Amino acid sequence: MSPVEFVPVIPLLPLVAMVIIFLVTRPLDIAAQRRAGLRPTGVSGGHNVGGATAGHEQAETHGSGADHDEHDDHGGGHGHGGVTTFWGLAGAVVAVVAMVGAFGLALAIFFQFLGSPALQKSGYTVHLWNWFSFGPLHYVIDFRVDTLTAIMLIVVTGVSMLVHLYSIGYMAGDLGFSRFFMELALFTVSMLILVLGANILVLFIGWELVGLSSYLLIGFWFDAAPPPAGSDLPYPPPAALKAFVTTRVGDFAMLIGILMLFVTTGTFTFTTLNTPATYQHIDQFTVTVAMILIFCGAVGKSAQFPLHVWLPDAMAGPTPVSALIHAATMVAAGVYLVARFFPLYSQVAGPQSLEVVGWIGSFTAIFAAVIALAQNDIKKVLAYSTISQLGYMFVGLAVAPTDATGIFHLFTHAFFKALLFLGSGSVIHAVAGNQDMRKMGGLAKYMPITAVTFLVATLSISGFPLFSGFFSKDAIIGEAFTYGQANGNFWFYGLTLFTAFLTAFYMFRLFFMTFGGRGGAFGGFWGNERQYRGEAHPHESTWTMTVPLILLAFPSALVGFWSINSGFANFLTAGIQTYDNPLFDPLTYVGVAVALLGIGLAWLVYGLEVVPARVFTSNPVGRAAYTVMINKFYVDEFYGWVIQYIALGLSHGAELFDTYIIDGIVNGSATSVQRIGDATRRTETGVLQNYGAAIFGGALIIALAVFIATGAFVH
Amino acid sequence: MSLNIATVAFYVIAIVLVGSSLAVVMLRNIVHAALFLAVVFGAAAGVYVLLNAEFIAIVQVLIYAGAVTILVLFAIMLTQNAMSRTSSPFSGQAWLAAIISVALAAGLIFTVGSSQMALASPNASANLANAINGGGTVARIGQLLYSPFDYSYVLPFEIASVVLLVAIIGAIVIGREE
Amino acid sequence: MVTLNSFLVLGALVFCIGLFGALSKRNAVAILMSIEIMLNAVNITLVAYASAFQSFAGAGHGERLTGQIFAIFIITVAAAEAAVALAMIIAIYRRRSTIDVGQINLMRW
Repeated sequence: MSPVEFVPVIPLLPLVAMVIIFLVTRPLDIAAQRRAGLRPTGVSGGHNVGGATAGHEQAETHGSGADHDEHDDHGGGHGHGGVTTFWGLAGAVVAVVAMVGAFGLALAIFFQFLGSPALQKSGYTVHLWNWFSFGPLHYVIDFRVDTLTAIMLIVVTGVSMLVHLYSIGYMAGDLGFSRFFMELALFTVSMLILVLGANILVLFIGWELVGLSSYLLIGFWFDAAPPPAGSDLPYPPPAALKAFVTTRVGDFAMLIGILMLFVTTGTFTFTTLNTPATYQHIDQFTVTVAMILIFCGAVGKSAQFPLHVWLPDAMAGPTPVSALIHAATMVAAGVYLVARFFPLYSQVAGPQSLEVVGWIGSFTAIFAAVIALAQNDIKKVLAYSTISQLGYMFVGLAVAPTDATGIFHLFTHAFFKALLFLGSGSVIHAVAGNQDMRKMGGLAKYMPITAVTFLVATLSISGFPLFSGFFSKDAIIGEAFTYGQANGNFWFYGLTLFTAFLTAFYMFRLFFMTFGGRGGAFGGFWGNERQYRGEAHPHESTWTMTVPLILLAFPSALVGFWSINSGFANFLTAGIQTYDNPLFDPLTYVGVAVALLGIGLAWLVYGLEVVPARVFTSNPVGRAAYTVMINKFYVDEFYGWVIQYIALGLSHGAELFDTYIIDGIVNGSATSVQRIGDATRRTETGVLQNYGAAIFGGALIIALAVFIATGAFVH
Repeated sequence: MSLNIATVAFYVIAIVLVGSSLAVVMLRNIVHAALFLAVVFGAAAGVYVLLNAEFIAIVQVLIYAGAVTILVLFAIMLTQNAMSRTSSPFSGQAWLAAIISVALAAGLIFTVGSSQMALASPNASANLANAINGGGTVARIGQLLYSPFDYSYVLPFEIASVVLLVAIIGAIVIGREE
Repeated sequence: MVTLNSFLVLGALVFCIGLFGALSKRNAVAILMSIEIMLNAVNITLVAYASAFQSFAGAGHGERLTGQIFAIFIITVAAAEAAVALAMIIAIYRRRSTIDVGQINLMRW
């Protein structure tokens, strides 16, 4: 028995954990909270919301309102003053243990793949059950593990495990502690189904389930008080809805694409779909359109322009959620989707399909990076950074001959972006819920572990040499250059290169504003209490939070070395493709120079502060650019305008049509019937003789008609 | 055209019948009308005799001329103050009724005149002679109405008796004082 | 010469006279009398047909008198109808003090 045969156990483990929490520990947790008086037991009091200043971390202590009594987790105060009950903790431990088991199994499978080139080539399919059959069509629930899935399994289970562990500390004291772990486990199951599915149906089930989990977790603090009007503070309920609805736009196009593929090929199975021979008799244009439509689903899920608007708002969810779902795994599902269909994109469909991927990706990369420059919310910066890096991944898929380049960036990005988010969560935790970087600064002295690990991740994402982000990102930039040489289209190269500069700049701006500042040690890198601009008393986080940070720092720094000698590409593509090691490519030095330029500029402005930040906004052009950037290029406003004036206008038109045409017909027919009735009822005189006259007169008329018809008068 | 006794009798009776019918309909005095109704019934009995249907004629005299006329007279007596004697006995739609009636009469006569069956029918006067010669139909009608073996109308006859019973009871119920 | 047509025309005339009375008279008793006239006219027609077909060679002995049997039943039913109708007239008169059908319009809308 080899590990890969146990692959269905991987999603089963978190599923079991979820069920245990749902059925056992959570009810006990709630009961314990009631006994301890943490949770109201009935109708009592009104809302007593305190501290409506710092976003979602408000210490809400309201009892359940008169309008909803005894609601599940309602009146859940999120804050740090609460107590995690024994049973809440027990559920969390169950979840963590399950995730450790899942990660262990994923690792075992990964190493089995690593050691077996035959397995890398063939993959492993496990048939679970037949869903249903219609005549010749058989819909099956199958799992398939190939190299891509093995990579994704590592990413999903690994990050999920660490986020589970981290959440024990981060979510401590939240009344919804058990619910959080339940939903986290649900997400993990969904994501595993997504990456394990052997056909599009299973993938789509997972795809929608992660959307649901994302909705639930963004809206985790669904009872948070709305922020004051006009403020930019996050508000979970509408953010959750926005995420769900926006991705649904892409999912709709994706569903059409899937069905187009199914109608033309008659199969959902990836192995058949990805065989170019399947398309011998099929119009290339159809496949191209289908692939672009499927990419639309990826655009929604991976928050690419123009459907990127939901991801920054999704930061209203708890930070571990942002790390797991909105940085490492779910948003990467779009990239995974394109990679899954990569043979179709690169070999079957027309080149337009990958060009669309490349343009969307490269534009999103620079677009989000520019917005990130001006954000002051630490999580918003990271959110735009995620959007930008996802754009990189799409560019990597679009320009490279295989999916290895894009997927490798997905792989490294998962670790360092999860680390960045978890680190930011640690910071937010330390400064009592504040997310505004202008009220941070100099935190390195207070929380050294967080600062060091955060620095590792920042260097990695910035592409500092020998950190993992350097290997993956410079590979993409290099491939973009090669692509330019082949196709004469250097736009992708230029955009990604400039984005690399912006990335380095805004990430170090974030680092300096948070942890460093002028006057800190090492030229502002290591700040202390003199740079701290907030009021709360920062402190290092507990071990459950720092351990994941440390564990993530290692892959963030080191996994890049796997790409040396085409290790990763060889593995992923089963030896089909190799790409040059960026270490020895002269082009790489351009990328490194650009990254160092960005780091240096950020250092000058925010670390040493020899160049005041005012220089950017002191001139009219800079001010205008800054206004546009801080307003995110007014995309949200544009969508609001579209919805308000175009969608609602159409709705209003439809309403008018309904009121005057449809209702007019309905009411008109009713009214005309009434009028006719009014008129004809006058004939009902009640006088029998009138009726008699009508009977005989009618008989006469009939007789006359018969006479005329039979020609009785003629002869 | 042979002017035999049957022909003479028919025209006499027909003129009496039509004239008294018109009198019933047109007369202002309802009592006079009722008396003319008795004449109508009698004349109809005469027509039946001409048609060799002496049983019907006798029944006609017994029931119509006897019972119904008396019944109508009783009704008139019981409601004698109901109708004003000065106002018209006709309703406002009398002109319409006249048009319909005349048109219907014209239509019926036209139809009868152009009917193949009627044209092909035998001469009634032969039957009349037959009746005078004593070949009555009473026995045959009795057989038809009462014989349980022959092709008969026993069942309709019994139903008719039930109808009469219901009518008697119904008339009593409707007509009695509260 | 008296033929079947003579009786049919006579019946038609009497029927239409009765119809005119039924449709135009205001007095309910007069209407009833008119209806009796109409019924008599129908009876005349039926008996005339019966007599005419007595000599039809193909007709069975029963069918030859069918018209007369019908007339008997009509007389029966007419008697019943007259009794009930007069009872109704009296009942209406007792309740509304009128037998003018123009004013008896309970079926009015």
